[in-house]
This record gives sequence, C-alpha cells and structure tokens, in this order.
Amino acid sequence: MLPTTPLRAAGVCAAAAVSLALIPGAAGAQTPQPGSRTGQGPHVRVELITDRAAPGPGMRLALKFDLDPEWHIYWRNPGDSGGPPEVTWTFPPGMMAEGIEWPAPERVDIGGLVNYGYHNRVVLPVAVAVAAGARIPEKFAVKAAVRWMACANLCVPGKAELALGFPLNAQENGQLAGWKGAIDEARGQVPQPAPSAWRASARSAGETFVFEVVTGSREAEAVFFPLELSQVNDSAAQVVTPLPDGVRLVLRKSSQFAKDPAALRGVLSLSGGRAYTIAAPMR
Amino acid sequence: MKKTMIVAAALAIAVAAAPTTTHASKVGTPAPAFKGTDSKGKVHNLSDFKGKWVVLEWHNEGCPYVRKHYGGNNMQKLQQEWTAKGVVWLTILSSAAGQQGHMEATQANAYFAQQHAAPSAILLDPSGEIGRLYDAKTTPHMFVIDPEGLLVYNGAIDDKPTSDQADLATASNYVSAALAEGMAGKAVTTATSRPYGCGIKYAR
Repeated sequence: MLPTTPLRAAGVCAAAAVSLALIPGAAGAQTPQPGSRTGQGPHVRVELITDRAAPGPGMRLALKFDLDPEWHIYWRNPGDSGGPPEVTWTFPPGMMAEGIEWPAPERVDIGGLVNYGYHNRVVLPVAVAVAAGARIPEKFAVKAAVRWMACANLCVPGKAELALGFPLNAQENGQLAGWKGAIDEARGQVPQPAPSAWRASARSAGETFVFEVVTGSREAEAVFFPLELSQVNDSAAQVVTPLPDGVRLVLRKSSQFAKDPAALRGVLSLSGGRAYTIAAPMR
Repeated sequence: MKKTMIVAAALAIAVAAAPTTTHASKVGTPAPAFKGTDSKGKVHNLSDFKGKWVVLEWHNEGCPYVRKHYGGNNMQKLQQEWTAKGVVWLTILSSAAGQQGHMEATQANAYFAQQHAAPSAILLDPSGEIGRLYDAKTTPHMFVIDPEGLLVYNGAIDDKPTSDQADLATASNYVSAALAEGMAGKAVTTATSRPYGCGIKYAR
C-alpha cells in the first residue's frame, strides 16, 4: 500500500465548485472591484494572466511566477522536499479550471537533496472549461487563491488572492500579446505524450529500477522525473546508459518504497529540451 | 606498509560510499544502530531502548513545515501523549554548523523549553551521521521503531503535506496511527509515506 499524497491539480475543479457554492452570486453584484491581478511573497512575485480578451471555450489562464535568483518553486511531484503550488479558483457558474499544465521541471540539487521544480520564471497554464449552454457574463472576475512554497537553501511559504476582471481594461489589453506569448511558450514546454512507436519498460532489480526506452535513435542524455511520490529515490544519481536505439536509466528505489507498481510513470527529458510523459510497464 | 595503505584507502572508499546506501531505513528491517549525544551531554545508543517503542523526529526550528507543527502545538501534544505511554521520543537536529536549524546544546535547551516541547531527548547531529544513516530527507521526517528494534514506520508526520497550520485540524497523523496499531499488536496500516517538509541542511 502506498499512501499517496493527492496531487493538487486533480482537485482544482472540485475546489472551484466548492468555492462557488460557498459564495452565492460570486460573479454578481458584489464584484465590481476585481481585486489585484498581481501578488507577492518573499522572493516571489506572481501574476494572473490570460491569453484571451474575450473569455470562452479554449481560453487559458495562467499563473506567472517570477523568482529571485537561486529560489525555486515546485513541480507536481516536488521530489525530496517542498510542495507544489496550489490554486483554488472561483468562476462564474458554468466555468471551471482544468488541471495545471506543468512544464517539464529541472532537477534542483540543494546540498545533496534533490527537488523537481523551476527557477527564475515559470508560467503555469490552466485551461478553462465552459459547460455546454453556459452563458458567460459580460462582466465578471476570475479569482485565484494561490499558495506556494519557495525555497533556496531556506524555504518560505507565500500566498496571494489574485483576481482578473473581464472585460480587460486598456492597460491589460496592451499586455495581452505578451501574456499569450508567455502562455504559448509554457505550453510548448509541457511534456508531450511519448510517440506510440516508442517502447518503454521497467524491471525491479534489487534496490533499483532498470528503465529502458526504445526511441529509435541513440539518446545521449536523459533525466526521469517520477510522477508518483515515494517510488524513486530522488536524490540518488540516475545512471544513464545510451543504447543504439534508445536509453537505459538505473534508478534507485525510494526508502519509502513499498511495493512494485504496475508501471513507472513520469516525464522523460532528453537532449535538446525534448520532454515526454511516459509509462513504462513493469516486467 | 604499502599493503596497509591500500587497505586503508579501500576502507576510506567504503566509508565514503556508505551514505548512498539506502534501505538502511526500510520498514520491516532492523532500525540502523546509532549513538548520539543529547543536548544535556548524555550519550544514547539506540540499543539502550530495546523493549521500548522509539520515535525519531527530524527538526529544524526555522523550517515553515516544522513551525506549522510547533506553532500549532501539534508536535508537543504528540510528544506528551506518547512519552506518557512509555514511548522514547528522540528529536534530532542534523543541520550542519552555520546552516538553518543548527543549535548548540544551551541554545537547543532554551528553545525547546520555550516551545514547551516534551521529547525524551534532543540529539545533536551536526555531522549528519544519524540523518544520513536513516536517509532522513526533510524536517519533519518521522520514524517509529518497535520494542524489538524493527523499523515499523518511515515517512511524513501526517497526510497534509503543507506548511499551513489550518490543515492540522483535518490531518490524519501517521505516527500516532503507527504507534496505536503497533502497541495493539496489529500490523501498521500505513508503514511508509512520502516525508514532507524542508530539505535537511546537511554538512556538505
């Protein structure tokens, strides 16, 4: 049995629904002032941005984090320590946020312990779903209650209550092209599903997993980011062996590892900034 | 002479390699033996506590996740509750000198008194030797050892991996559950979980 920590993104829709239930008429008369689109905490500045002037299906919102040098925030699996940012959205009825689209993370080594996260600037896009037949109000505000943990060597939590009012004001309309560019760029960094022609497999070998993927060509570099907590020992070095038609990684098992999973799931980052979601069945 | 040096070099490599050995802290296996000096200057061996339940708690006073549990009086309550039932509770400081959470003995005694903390002892581990032996990752990171010396729990303090005190009210505590089940002669339902918190500030 693996007591897993629920990944935060999964609960976004439910949380948004709860928030709406608790605030009747959230989109109505009580929101003439949408509140601030920006917030900050120690070493962190955060903004709520959008890629559309006119809300509708296909719209994305995003949280744009700017961090002081050497500070980082976390991917959905934070690694050895820390935790991912969490958002509770409040929308007009009929609209809700889907999960965060997480760009591929980096390995962050802090004194021998390893986190999975982001430095400098990261944009976390979120698709907005609109229920069939839902009427989007002409004027409303989206709210995002955000909390995060930021760490360098030290860790400092932060939180912000952000709001973005629609229609956008003139200043926001002026920034829209830049926001859309940032959101599109972040979406370009979200791992793609591994091509169907690839063959991935994993096996248990004592204290390690041996993970192999056949991509069709030699892969000189590879880093695996496990999706599940407590499978892989995050701080152990990953032993990467390029193969003629792919790559092999030897991953140490976590000290909290309980039993072999059906598959190792995660993100495989390869040279040239390529990143893929991958599930390697255990054999 | 030359042969001795080769042996010595081989030993040095073996020692250097030791901290990367994981699963020393695997549940169901004997808890790694250790010796540590507490903040009162007393030396403790894990073997001294044979026949008793032992809890290990990794601590860093500056860590927001630790402050959640101390600021909310959660850790102190656990220490009081379980030591009253005969459990040996060892709070361990593995921060290196100069790093957040490092304390000298007098400082540690004053700080834990002011927190109304009630561990059995506060072990000072600035070399990180005990922490690395257990592959302790975070503050807090919790271990439970049974009276036979077997590790029965390795992981988080509870199921709410945040630094927000408000989450204490709805959290399910893994350490209490492990102790309660273990003392009742039952298998521990949740024997491992991902420890959450700040990375331990080990000596580099």
